[in-house]
Amino acid sequence: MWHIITYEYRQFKADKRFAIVTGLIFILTAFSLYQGTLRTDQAQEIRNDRIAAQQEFYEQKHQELIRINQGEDEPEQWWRHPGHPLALGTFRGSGKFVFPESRALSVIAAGHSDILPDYGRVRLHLTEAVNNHALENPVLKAAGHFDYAFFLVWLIPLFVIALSYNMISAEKERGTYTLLRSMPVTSGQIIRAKVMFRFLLIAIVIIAAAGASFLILGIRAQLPDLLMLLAAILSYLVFWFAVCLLVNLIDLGSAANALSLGGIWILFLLVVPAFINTLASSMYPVPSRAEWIVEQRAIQQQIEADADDILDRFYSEHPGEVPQGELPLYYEYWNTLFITAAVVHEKEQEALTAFKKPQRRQEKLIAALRFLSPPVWLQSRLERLAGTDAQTLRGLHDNMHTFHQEWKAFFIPIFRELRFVEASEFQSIPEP
Amino acid sequence: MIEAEGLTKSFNGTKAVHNLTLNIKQGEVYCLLGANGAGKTTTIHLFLDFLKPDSGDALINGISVFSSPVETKKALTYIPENLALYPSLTGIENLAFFAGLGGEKQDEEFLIQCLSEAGLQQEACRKRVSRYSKGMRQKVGVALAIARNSKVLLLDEPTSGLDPAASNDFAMLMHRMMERGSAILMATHDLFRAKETGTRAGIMNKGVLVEEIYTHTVSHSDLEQLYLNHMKG
Repeated sequence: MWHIITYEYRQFKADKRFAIVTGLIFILTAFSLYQGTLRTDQAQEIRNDRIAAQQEFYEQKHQELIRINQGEDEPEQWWRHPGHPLALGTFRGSGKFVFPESRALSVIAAGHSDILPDYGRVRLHLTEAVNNHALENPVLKAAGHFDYAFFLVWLIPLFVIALSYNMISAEKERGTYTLLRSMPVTSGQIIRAKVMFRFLLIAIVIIAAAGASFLILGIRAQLPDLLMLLAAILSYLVFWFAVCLLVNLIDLGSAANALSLGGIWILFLLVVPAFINTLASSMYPVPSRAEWIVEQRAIQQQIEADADDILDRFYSEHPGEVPQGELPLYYEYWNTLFITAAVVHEKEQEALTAFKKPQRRQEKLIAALRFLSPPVWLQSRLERLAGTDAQTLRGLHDNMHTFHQEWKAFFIPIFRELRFVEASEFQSIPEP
Repeated sequence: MIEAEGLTKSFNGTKAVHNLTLNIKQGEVYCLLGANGAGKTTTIHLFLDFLKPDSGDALINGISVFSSPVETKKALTYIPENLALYPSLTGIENLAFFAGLGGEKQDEEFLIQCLSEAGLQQEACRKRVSRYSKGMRQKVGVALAIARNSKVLLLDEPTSGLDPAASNDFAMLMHRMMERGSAILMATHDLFRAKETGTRAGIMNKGVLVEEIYTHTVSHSDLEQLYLNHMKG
């Protein structure tokens, strides 16, 4: 087998296809990973900016409070007082940013990152998911991200097909197959060697191109992640080489082989995923986003109308929270907002179930059917490794919610006690 | 060395080879003559296990080609009418590749020697085969037989399309191979070459071996007359 592989290599070396394929794989790998680093660098820059602004805000408030306590400064209006729980917990500039899990391999797949939020901001009266997509280059937005996942999932099969569609038919058309068959080797040995050579060639070029690009672009990843990436790529290559092998065994001639493989490429990359999506959306239809917005507004209006009843119920359930004595003017507004916000959140979660349930079922069905299309499988594996899959990004909402509870648990009791945050308490302000 | 025992092969009910019995010994060149469609190429393809017979057996060195195809192919070299080689490789590289398929790795010096023995000029050995003439490619085929030390050669119209000088060179090579103790089965239309090169000739008509003669017992014209008589039926 190695003898045939050696001479396949010699022939490839003398063939322009070898140089073209190798060159293209290197260029496309470097370009797609460079695009990925631009995307992740931008996200990291935003993250660093937000964290720095947040630290500066609380540091400044802390220093102001120390100066006031030492009598070096006069407190301003209540809403600017550096120890006021509303100024620290919900007013302009306050709050904390919650970021999705960051992974070293996030460069390989944009995944859902251009649809789902980049980060969240948590304040007392609201949590908001933020994305910076509006600031993106509109051409890039229209064309989509040329990421490494796209290169692997969509383009690598074309390279495999280009090198393998005529493994046997070219021998027959050239006339060398007759002489080959007269030699003491079986057809199985010949084709196995040819497949093995092309598999090794593409795998080595992909690994070399990725390795060089990782080094040049300074991408650092954990060994287990890299091994999982490698296993996913090799499994995908095995699938496409198996398809090529099958077509070569049937062998209807080079042109027919190329057409058949082109058809199979379209089938697995376009038709099967489209079929899976159509099946999922017909079986578990998700209400439109417009319906959700209408529902949200209805909840808001209903809560505003029922605000008095909600307050009565809250105070009857929490008699200790009933305000005593003279209260500042702002107290009623903000206290009502905090109490009703919890009810709004509860109602919204109930309403969201109607939207999320079919969405979850769709995702489950797609996950179960992804084995029908190896490209869908690989895309989902790569997004998982990159941490840009829907599941990971959805985790951001859960983290925001959890942190919101901690944030409220720290500031609202101080607000209701009508006191300021002490300088010594700054160390205890929750961090996501 | 090359034997056929009642070998029969049909295509869609038409018998391409019918009850063929042959025995070609070491140092013999057996020329299989016949018109197009007489069954010469089918016979050679049966010996190469390219086709499976309806009945009978083909043997190389006493081993059935159908039960041990890889084993029998180790002993033979096949040179088709148009020997196709890999155009992007040189003559030496092609020879090294095909010779190495038998599991024997030869050094470059030996391969050049084989190519020279087969009549290929030294400077041509390192040229890409895409620049070779048909005669030069056929010589690579003979060099392959030398390199593999094949004692059995199966040749299918090897001189067809060669100019007289190249054809004569090829005949001389066959003579040398015969002297080295090879058994050669050569399908050909060329009665002159069959008389000059062959030790025995067999005439096939419609799949049947109708006549076998020792070439030294007949003149060129007798062989031609015999052939024509059989073709006329």
